[in-house]
Amino acid sequence: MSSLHATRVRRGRSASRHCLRAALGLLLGALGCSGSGDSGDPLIVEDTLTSPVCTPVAGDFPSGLALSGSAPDRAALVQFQPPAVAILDLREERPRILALQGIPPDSDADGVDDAQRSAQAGFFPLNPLLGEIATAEHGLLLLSASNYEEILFVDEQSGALVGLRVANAASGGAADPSHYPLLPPAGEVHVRSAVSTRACVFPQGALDSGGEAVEPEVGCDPARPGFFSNLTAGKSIAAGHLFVATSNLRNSGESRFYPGSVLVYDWQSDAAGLRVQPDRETPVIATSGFNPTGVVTHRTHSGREVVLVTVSGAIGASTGARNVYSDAAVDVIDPLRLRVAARIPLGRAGPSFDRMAIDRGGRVGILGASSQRQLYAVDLAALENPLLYEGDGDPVILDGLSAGFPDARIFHADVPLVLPDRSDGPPDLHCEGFTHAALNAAGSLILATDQCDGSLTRIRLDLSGSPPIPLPRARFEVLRMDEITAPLTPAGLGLIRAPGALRVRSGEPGLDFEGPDAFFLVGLPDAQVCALRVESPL
Amino acid sequence: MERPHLSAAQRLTAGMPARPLALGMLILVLPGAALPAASQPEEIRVEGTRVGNELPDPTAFGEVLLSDDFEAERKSLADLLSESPGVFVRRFGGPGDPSELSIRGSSAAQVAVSINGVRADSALRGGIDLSRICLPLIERVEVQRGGGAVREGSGAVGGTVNLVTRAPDGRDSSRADFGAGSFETYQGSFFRSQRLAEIDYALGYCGFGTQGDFRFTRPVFRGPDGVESLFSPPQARRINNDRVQHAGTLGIQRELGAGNLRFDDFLGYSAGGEPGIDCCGGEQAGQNARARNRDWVNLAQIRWRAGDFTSADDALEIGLHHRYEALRFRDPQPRFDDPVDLRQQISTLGARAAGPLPLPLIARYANLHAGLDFEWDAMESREAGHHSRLVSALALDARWEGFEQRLLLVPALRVDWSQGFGVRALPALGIRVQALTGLSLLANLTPAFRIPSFDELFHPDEGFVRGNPDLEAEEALEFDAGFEYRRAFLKRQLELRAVASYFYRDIEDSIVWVQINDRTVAPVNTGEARVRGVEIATSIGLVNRLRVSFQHTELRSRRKATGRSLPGVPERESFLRLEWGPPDLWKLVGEAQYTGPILVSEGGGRRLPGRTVWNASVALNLAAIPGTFFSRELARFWLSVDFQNLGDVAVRDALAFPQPGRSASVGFEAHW
Repeated sequence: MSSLHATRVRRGRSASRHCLRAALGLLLGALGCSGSGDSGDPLIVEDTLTSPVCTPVAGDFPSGLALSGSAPDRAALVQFQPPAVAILDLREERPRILALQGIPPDSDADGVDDAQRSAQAGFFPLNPLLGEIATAEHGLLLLSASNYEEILFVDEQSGALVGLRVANAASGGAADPSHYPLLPPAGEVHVRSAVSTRACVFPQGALDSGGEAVEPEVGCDPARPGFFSNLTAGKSIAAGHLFVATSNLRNSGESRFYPGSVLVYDWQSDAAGLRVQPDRETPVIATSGFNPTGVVTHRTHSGREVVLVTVSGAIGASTGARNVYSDAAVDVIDPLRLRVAARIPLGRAGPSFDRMAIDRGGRVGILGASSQRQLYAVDLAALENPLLYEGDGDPVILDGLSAGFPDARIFHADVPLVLPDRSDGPPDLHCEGFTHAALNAAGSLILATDQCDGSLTRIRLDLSGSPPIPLPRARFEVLRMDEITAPLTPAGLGLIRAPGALRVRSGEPGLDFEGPDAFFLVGLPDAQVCALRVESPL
Repeated sequence: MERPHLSAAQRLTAGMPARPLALGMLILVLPGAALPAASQPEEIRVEGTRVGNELPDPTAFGEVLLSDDFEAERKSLADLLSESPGVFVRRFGGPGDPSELSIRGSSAAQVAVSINGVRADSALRGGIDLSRICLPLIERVEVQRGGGAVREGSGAVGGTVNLVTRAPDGRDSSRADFGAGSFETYQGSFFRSQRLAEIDYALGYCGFGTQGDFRFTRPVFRGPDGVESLFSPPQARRINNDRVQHAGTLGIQRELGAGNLRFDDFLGYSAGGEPGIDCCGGEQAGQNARARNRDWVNLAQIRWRAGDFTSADDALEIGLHHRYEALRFRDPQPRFDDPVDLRQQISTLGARAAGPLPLPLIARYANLHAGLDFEWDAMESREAGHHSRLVSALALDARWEGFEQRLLLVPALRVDWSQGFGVRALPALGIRVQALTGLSLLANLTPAFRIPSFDELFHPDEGFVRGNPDLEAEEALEFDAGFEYRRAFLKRQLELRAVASYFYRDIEDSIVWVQINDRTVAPVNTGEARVRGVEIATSIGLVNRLRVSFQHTELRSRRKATGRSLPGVPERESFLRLEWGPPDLWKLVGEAQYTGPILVSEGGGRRLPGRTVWNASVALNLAAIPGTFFSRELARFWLSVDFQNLGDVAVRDALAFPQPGRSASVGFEAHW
């Protein structure tokens, strides 16, 4: 009995020791056992159709849509997350995605991941947040990216990034190369897929939109007030220059903006291809107000190129007229002399951030509104006067009070073009407006989406004869309002709603193309791009 | 002495406090009033996932999960609950990261969670973060599916969960455990119960720490044209995900007069990083590397109970409770904004009384029970200001048995008044029919409601997010029916349980956070929605060596205005568990959990893929090996190793919140 017990005890002790050793081994094994979830099937998130005329894309609120300049059946869409550019086929009732190119972690191809590069330069570790996209020359698309702050070069056919020669500011010029910390070192030319728009700006005005003094930025010049540009917005090419608006947000909680700026780059083509670098003499143009957003190049009847910059003004995070904190304007930049030649004041309009829509004849420019259900319009015939572009004085204010210059304003904050209200739309207190506008190819019809109401309004534009400047408001006639999505009300939860940027194909519907003629982006409940037949017959 | 009318379920839930109490009705109570005899189902015990009704409400569907049934498996509370039918645990990360509960397709705020019978879910935000509750401190978890508003009041739309902490039981006993695992995660606990003179006390502590960072696979989006879009790089590392947690329980009880006086306290503290969502391109994946949060909660109650202590519904009980919750969130360097330092505190003071109400006219036919409840919530926040709310309720329920105790009817009524949301009367009816030996049929018609949380009402206007003081309360009506079967065969060598239920719920004015304009998110009342589904669960025990349990849930939901499903929960979920081994010597556990595709957008067009996750654990009780130190000194000494997600599949319950792949932990658990 005692022998049996002793044997059991010995075996027990031995087993116990083995178990403890095994436990120790397991402990060590367990600590190093973790996986990253990549052994099974990929984590594929399926996006399925919820509308016969809309195509879902990943993420929420796609940020840009550009119709191709060279291929009439193609468009490029900017997907916010994962960051990518999708090439769309527009021939069917809903746009189809032909190809999609992701933006790599080293988006500007400088050899270092953006976040790392950003941190090396003393900023937060930042990645690009994609914004507006616009067609440029040479089959290129220009894609704005905030956060990392850059303009990406995108191939119009494939959506892939394209390398251009990028250089820093020339030494001895108005800008110091150190003011562009993410551009190549001074004197070097690198092939990159983006040009950095992170630049030191030294404003003429010393106050931000909240009336607070602008302090010196240590990374720029500790001796004079300045800041690094941010919120890269619209861009356009004119007269051998690339113009990029930067909204320069200072404090989002308080909706305060640093003075607005337009960065100017030389955009030159030679035998080796395109080359981009900050302009030697005028690298930055100060805008007349806060928060410049949309940028578009307009050619006058006399062949002069001008750059029209929408100055949206300081805008809060709410809705309605009270959401607009400062005045808006359209700044007219002379790309040859790199100065603001004229300004079209719009008052407390708070125009939306898309670039100005211009009719084919170049007479009227239309802007949406960020906080109200209305549109604004300017008469571009007022820019024909060559006297605007002479001298070095202050910009001419085209409000009818400047001697010898007409009033370029048709609809502005005091006299807006109000869009019809949808009866089942949200109360204005919750949501009002955020409109986007486009014109048909003939220039006879203005289309406007309203994000809150989910509506599309058609407005007839009569440019017949030789109308005076400014174009009489009677030339605009609201024809009808269609409910193209659900409104932003609780009842619309789950339905397609929040229409945004709107584009209309060039050419005559039914003749030059068979498919839908209008396309708009949708932000909720998922990101979508939708097609619409406005004038195009079924 | 055990009363003859007590069911096995009631014995298992002995000591469980009732929610609705009747302070004003104490004078009406006649202790020892005659109660009608009740049915006496066969008492059997099946370890592992327990299915079948062992709840205070004899007609409700649900189960009691005993944490000791899962000893040495290193499970969390979320793990335990996710094994219940009808319950979906939505996790927002790995160990220590938040996880929340959905029952029958509900939101987290639509589940009433209590600790020792006192509501523990946050009056600030609704719901409870399961990761804050340390399982070793919990003795059992009572899960009731379906509307529980008559007992619990606001919030019990999807169901109720009561967490019962380890309590003093008059004996000297101790237990401790410690474990370490992947992601530099450590957890240890200690519990001591003892009798000192005439006082019993129980003291528990649990500590948790994790470095928390893990690599994860990022989603690939596939559109209707077959084009895939993926993040670059396709994998990233969860950052700023460390966490430290401490939790403690204290229970003290002694006899006082004709009854028993008991004090319970639960204290929890948690601090760690707030990485936020996985959203964007780049290695950092849009995560916040600097934001931190810290919160702590204390839940204290004192109650005196007289009468039949083993049955909550037969005891006379009065009690007071206090809940305190403090939250702090800091982000020292938000972009384009001033440093954020949010502090919120909420405090709740409550009183309750309950007991049998032997009205002579009714007592001849039924056992009537009444309760009164008062709660006063007060929130203090620098950003949202001061807000308070008073809630009171009267609850009545009766139990009538007939047809030789084969039929049990439980009509109930709650009259609830919530400051700012008026009075509502909630009549309910439950039925239980014993059809055959071991087979019971159950049906319930239960209303429910939820008044908005303080956060939903008063979240400060931060520009991009704000509360909505105009919100209405959510209202719901649920019907469920099904059966329960429990039998033992072959001289108890084979034990079998099976439960199946169908449920149908209409809900109005659901509160959902939505984008109300292009820049602002706010909660709004949405229209009607309907949820229906089927739950089945079986459990088999064979010769006390092999235990198998299986559960499956099918769920369908539809928002009336759009015809689209409700997002956030899978349409189907299955769970299989096999446990093999002689009790108290060793055990080998294998589990497989299938979770169907999860709709992650309100539009009904975007789904996370379904997945099957395999887990396994093995444990050995060294104290069962004779002649060892452990066998001499300890009642139990388990060494265990546990593997989660053996297949290392990518798992997400919410699109922007990654969960870890394969992980493991080892540890010991000792009882003496």
